[in-house]
Amino acid sequence: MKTKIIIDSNKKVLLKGGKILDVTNDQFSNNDILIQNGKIIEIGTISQKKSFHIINCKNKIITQSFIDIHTHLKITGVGDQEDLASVSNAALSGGYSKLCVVPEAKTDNPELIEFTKSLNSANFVTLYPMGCITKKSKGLEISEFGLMIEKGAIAFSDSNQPIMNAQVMRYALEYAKMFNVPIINHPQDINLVNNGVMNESPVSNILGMNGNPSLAESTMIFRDLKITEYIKGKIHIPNITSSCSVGLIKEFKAKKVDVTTEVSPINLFFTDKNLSEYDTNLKVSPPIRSKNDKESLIEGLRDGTIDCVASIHNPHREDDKDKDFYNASYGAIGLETAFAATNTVLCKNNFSFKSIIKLFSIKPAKIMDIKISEINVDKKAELVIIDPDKEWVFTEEDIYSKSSNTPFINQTFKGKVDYTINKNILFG
Amino acid sequence: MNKLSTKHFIGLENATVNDINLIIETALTFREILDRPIKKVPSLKGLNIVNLFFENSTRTKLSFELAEKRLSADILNFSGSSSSLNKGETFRDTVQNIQAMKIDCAVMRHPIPGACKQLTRYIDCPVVNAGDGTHEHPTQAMLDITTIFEKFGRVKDLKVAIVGDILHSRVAISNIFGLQKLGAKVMLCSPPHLIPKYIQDFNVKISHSIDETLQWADVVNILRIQRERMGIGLIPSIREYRNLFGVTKNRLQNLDKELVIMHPGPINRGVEVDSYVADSDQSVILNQVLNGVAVRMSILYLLLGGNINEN
Repeated sequence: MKTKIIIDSNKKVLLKGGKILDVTNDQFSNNDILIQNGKIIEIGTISQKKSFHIINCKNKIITQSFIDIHTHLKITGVGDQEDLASVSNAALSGGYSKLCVVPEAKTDNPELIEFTKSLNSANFVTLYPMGCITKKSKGLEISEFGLMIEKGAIAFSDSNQPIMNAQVMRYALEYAKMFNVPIINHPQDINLVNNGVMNESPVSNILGMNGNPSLAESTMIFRDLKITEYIKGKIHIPNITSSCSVGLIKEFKAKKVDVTTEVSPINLFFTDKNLSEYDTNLKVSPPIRSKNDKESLIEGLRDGTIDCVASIHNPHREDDKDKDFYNASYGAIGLETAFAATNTVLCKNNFSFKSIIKLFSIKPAKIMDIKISEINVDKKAELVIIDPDKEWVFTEEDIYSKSSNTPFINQTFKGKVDYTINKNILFG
Repeated sequence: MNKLSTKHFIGLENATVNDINLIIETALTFREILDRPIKKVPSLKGLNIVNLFFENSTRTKLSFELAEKRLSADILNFSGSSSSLNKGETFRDTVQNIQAMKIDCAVMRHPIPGACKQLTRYIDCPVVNAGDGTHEHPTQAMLDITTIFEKFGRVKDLKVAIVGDILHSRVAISNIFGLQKLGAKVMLCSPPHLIPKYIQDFNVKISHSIDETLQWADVVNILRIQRERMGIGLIPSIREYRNLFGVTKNRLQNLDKELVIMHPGPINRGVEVDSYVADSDQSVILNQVLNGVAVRMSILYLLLGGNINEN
């Protein structure tokens, strides 16, 4: 179990012998880093002193900490539900220091955006709130984008509620142009989903479950891309899962439409065949699809059609997941496992380590226009120390969320985040 | 005797520069008459004008009625809401029945774009458009332009900004046509979804920043935010609109120049414009109202061919 150490402001931390990857200039270098008071104070060959807190980074990679662009906080703080500390620990354990928070239906006003931002003063990770696209996420009236932006909203989303009315989507995309922020619409046509709970495929026939066709996703994505193209808007398509979606986004990117997209590690790791045990931890929306879809997602990451990996962290109480497949909630936690699961899959597919790391830092930062500090003297120390080759088995012990709805228990991963350094704390 | 080059006054899209100048010049002459103790002239004595209002209107209807009375015309008022239209009569039958009563001119407000043009096919007398849906409102634009002319002594090369819901505004479209014909530059300032998509073809500047717009403009014409547009997803809230597009006291005071403030009314104080701004010395909002009567007198007079000095 990792622990969180709050570093005294006088204490210096030495990262000794690591290989540094600065994603802001795409350069590797072999140097030591000395940190004090949340800042990098020296880079180079630094001799050890007794007073230093020393971390041996031999054979480790030091790079900028990660940004997640798709986190459901669910911090009610009630009983066994998540609180700020549990979600922060989950994030830090997975290498994340910045979380873009998908709004709940009530976050359609500047007051709640301001509240979410205010949590940052007492938190070890930084939250970047998104506001609702429509009031109460009902898909009918656009909400107060301007006032929410003033209070720190970085994008607009109705979370898992798709905007079914295309005219409302047009208004939202046009209105958001004033602020140059992306609109994020859950890519599911709910009529075509037709109560499907898993991918519509030969497997859904065998399992006897209602199928959710990839058509439900690609139809919505096509509609949204056409509107975005027509009004010259800016769209981010979350959580794509199908080969057809990758093809559509590739086509519209080639036409210079301002579109970005993300993929979830679950869709890179599993296929619908893994549902044979009816494990509700694999019940996600959009669903896990076929082997062919999974391969297209990997190729989409390789050729840049898919911009980044998002954790789609979505905690649920055990009672909400430990149900029959139809009645269990959708979603899985993901902050703890996102990097390791993705690295495992992409290494097998011959991705370079550098290209994998960028999917977690510089690429999501670009989508949400979040600044990443260079790894340099006087810059903030927002870093991760990664053991890129470590093979390890993910267990309950590695979960820092209060919820444990993950399909990754007992999976073997390659690559592990050893430490995360952020805001004067060392987590590892 | 001066006359317009057209039989009807439907819009400014096809109006000639000569006609527009003639309307302004004649309106300013009528303005002088409106300042006299006795404001009535016999120019249209013996002529019958019908005001066909198929849509609610307060100030435009009052302004036309007063203009007609000042010209000594006889008036017939028709309101769509209390007419035989409710009994199933068609628009065509309704207006042809009225025409059969030997009317000399029809002034019409109608909720459907193009209704005035259709009316010219059904009746023989001159038709004046008092606003047809989201198409044109040429008498409003003429009173705006006349007010600008009165203030500056010219229209050419002035920078006029129109702020608000352009998409649903007949005032904006008529103003663009009229102002450009006289050589003014026009900027539209509005949220992107409340500007018509192909508006660039009109050769106007477009801005989504009220501060940029106020900095640019010599004159700012602030359109009313129609509260009925709220609640159907077009404007998130009054506070959001005011924050992004309101011509507020602060914004006016932060400018290092004087601006002429216009508003076609009715004003939502504290929403699209602050009271401080609407009531300031820079505001010509009440001049617009008075010029409205003079401009409508001018247009009716120039269509129906009366004699201004006739006694």
